[in-house]
Amino acid sequence: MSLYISPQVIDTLAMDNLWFGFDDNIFIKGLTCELPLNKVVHVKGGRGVGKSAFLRVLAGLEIPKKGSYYLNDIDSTQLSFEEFLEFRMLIGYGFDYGGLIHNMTIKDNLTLPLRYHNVADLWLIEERVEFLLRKFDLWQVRNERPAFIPGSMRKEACVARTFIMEPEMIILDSPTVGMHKHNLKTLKELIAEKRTEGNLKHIFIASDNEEFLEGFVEEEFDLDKYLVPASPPEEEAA
Amino acid sequence: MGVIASKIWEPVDNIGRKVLQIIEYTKQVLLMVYLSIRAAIFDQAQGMRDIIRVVSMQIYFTGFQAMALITTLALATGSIVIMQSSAQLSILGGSDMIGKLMLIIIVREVGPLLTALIVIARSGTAVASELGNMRVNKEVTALESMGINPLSYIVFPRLVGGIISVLCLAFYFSVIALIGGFFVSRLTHDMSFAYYTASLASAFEVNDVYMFLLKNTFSGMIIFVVCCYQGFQVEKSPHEVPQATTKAVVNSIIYVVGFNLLVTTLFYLKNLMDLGVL
Repeated sequence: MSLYISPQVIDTLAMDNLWFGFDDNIFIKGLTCELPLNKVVHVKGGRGVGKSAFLRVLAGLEIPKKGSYYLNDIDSTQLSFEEFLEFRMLIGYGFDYGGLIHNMTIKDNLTLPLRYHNVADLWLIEERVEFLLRKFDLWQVRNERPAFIPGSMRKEACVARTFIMEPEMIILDSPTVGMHKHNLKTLKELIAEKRTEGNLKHIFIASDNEEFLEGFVEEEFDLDKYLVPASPPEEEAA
Repeated sequence: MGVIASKIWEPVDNIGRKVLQIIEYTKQVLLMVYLSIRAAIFDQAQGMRDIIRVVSMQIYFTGFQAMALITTLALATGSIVIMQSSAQLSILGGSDMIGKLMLIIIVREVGPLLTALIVIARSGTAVASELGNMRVNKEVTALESMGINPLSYIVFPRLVGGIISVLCLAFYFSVIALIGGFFVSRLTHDMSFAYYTASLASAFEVNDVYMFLLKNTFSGMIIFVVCCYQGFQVEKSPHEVPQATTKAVVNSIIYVVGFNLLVTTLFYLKNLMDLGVL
């Protein structure tokens, strides 16, 4: 069995009157847009504008408070976990905290999605995991649990895991925070490599690291444009 | 007048509110059982290897590792019950009832309850705190992002492993308490082992099996689903984890004891109806 690749492809990504935020705090109201595809997109915006929440919505991990998020003209907010799975298999999501499974070794963390979805032979899984671990200099700590390795390595393991399913779309939320400097180049190289040889097409990155973004970003998506303005003080309003 | 009336009705309102809370909680917990079973069945992508691995680990931690504690407790309980009941039955002249009494006390009542309490204390707390920490560390979000349904990957195997463990532990408890307890208490009575086992065998009914299976299967399910549910209630901060664990223990005990009481009551009502008393 070779690596399973979902029969779906992402043709369109669109949002219609989307409202989202954190708890009861709505940052973005009425976001209607079509997202650029086949590009490295920098999702930018001021601090607290809701970049992480936006990326979670984009990854299908958060249901917006209101509105629709269309993947290939299908409203993903109406899909169950199982129904969304075909799309999910196309999306790699790496977030700031990472969420490595603490009772598993680094290698098992990377192996988990492939093994769980039963998408490849064991030798292929081993090969793929070894490739990514070596790429990010994690091979020597492969049998350690996340708590026993330095923070930079944990971060690199999280980012490496994003690529494990050979996704078509990658969403990276602050991928460079805590990452070792020489691996920033590795990450850029890996993205470039996967775009030319692999399945990777659409890349969405939220990051403040200008060194990382320089010469790499192809389009910007500014969330500040959609920010809800703070309500004016009462006297001003009067 | 309005104030007095509201004071009078306040306790009733409070009871009503509490009852509604319990109903809502029970509904949520049952929904979790349904959703985890549904997720395990419908998640076509999921490989069986991982479910079996998590189930085996749960059985190892909950069942196998608890055996030493269960052995001690079963021997103590069995011998205490045999000592007390054989002494009282000898005075009353009903020594041949020892088997019946032991089955009723150990197999039907004490065994399921004590086993459940041990499992709550050992594994329920572990499951609730593990899941709570997973939520805080965003491990659950990471699982979802990889297309792994937490309900089928985390809850379902723990539920299955928990039910199997509780059933096996309760069976083990009963055997050790009935047989081991006899030998521990050997010095205090002159009953022969053959007489004792014959008494047990003659007292044994099919209903004992039904009651044993019913109580222990549901106790296992209640413990693990309540603990998983409470673990998943943790949202943002690590300080919520001990609170969730405490709630998991308290709620599990309440539900397990309540369920055992309900089954026993229904069982005896049925007995009374069979006898024509009711």
